[in-house]
Amino acid sequence: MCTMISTKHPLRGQAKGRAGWFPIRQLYVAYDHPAREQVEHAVLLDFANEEAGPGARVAVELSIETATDLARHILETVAHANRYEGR
Amino acid sequence: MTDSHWSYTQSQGVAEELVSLGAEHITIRPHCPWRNGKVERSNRTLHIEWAYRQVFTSHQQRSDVLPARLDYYNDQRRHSSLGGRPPDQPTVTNLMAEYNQQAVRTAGAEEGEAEMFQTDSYEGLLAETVVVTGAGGDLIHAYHARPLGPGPFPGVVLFHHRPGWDAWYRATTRLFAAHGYGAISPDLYCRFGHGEPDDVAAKARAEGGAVDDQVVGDAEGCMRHLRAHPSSNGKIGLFGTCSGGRHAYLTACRLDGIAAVVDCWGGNIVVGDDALTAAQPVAPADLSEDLDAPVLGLFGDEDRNPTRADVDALEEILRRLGKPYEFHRYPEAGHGFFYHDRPSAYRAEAAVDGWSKVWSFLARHLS
Repeated sequence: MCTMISTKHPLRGQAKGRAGWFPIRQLYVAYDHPAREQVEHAVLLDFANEEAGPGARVAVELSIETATDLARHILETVAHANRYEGR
Repeated sequence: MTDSHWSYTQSQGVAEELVSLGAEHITIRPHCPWRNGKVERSNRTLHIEWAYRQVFTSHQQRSDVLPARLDYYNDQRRHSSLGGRPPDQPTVTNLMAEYNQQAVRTAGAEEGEAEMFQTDSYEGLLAETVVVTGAGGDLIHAYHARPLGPGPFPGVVLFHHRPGWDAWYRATTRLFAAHGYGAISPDLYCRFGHGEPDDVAAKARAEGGAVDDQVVGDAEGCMRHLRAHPSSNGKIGLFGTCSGGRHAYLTACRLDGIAAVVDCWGGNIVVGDDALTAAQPVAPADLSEDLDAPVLGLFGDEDRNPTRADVDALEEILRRLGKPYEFHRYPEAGHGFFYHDRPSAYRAEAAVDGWSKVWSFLARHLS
């Protein structure tokens, strides 16, 4: 890979792709050449189900700043969720 | 029919021969060699297969082998335009079509032009997905585009970039065919599955990318495929952009029989040990001693991989080893400045100049 910045993580959930909802089992996180965003490199998130083939994927391409904001928003929401659940 | 050179128009011998044959002497319009395409094409074959085929120490030595060479050409050499027969076993062929194609190529070759098309000439190419035996005997897909006609055509293997075996690479493969090359682009991500190119590329990225050994083996399979075609002239060049530039350089170091390599902004050719991975376990620059092919390198100064320092380091290695190379650097370009489908990367001026460098370089080394 051009940047060599790429990781894969197990994940369980549901995502909506071009053929409707499907179970997701992997999350790919990378910083590399995007397919569509007009920058040289972007933070790439792929929610995937490898068993269903490469097309079972929901892809997101973000700038570093936007990805940072996204991570913060997720953590804030998770903190609220934990309080709501009494954890 | 000849051109208007004085050796024809002023020669007493030619004049006497014409009289003895009862023939009329027609000369073509000056600077229009395609009007005499058969002869020009024949001259080209003689150059390739006789006059410059080996080192002769004298004109006499070169002349002495000509009769045997002509006998071989007429009696034994298999001609793709004659269905694999030598000329003394003629078969029906479309002479006019052959004439036109040969004339076009001859005109382009003589003028050293990348653009060989003449408005009154036939041009055609065939492009299709093929199956090639790649590394480890695996059957992989490749996109093969070639000019129509008997050739001989040089070959080029194209190594796709990090975003995958995509539309730009198929279009670029056809572009090489339109410029007179038998071109083939293997799907280097074939083993990661099939789907839309960006989906397959995402899978490949998550798995650490194509394995170097497989890429080299796949390229070798593509080279066999090109050379096996009757229209091949036997010469093969390599072309790649981004990670494909690295793969092209790596393959040129690892395999014999490559006549030229074009590295367009290949990243990680010069790279430290900390960036090596299981799939890409070597820095190709470290293999440069084994490089036999001349290198054309095109780089944007604003690129971050390779950086200007990376390009400097690679150039220094090639210079120190005495390897033939030419590097061209574009000050206001970054990574991927040929990619017309990526407005943020495309740099029209650099791309036009870069492509002209590619055609000129390949014409010099693969003809």
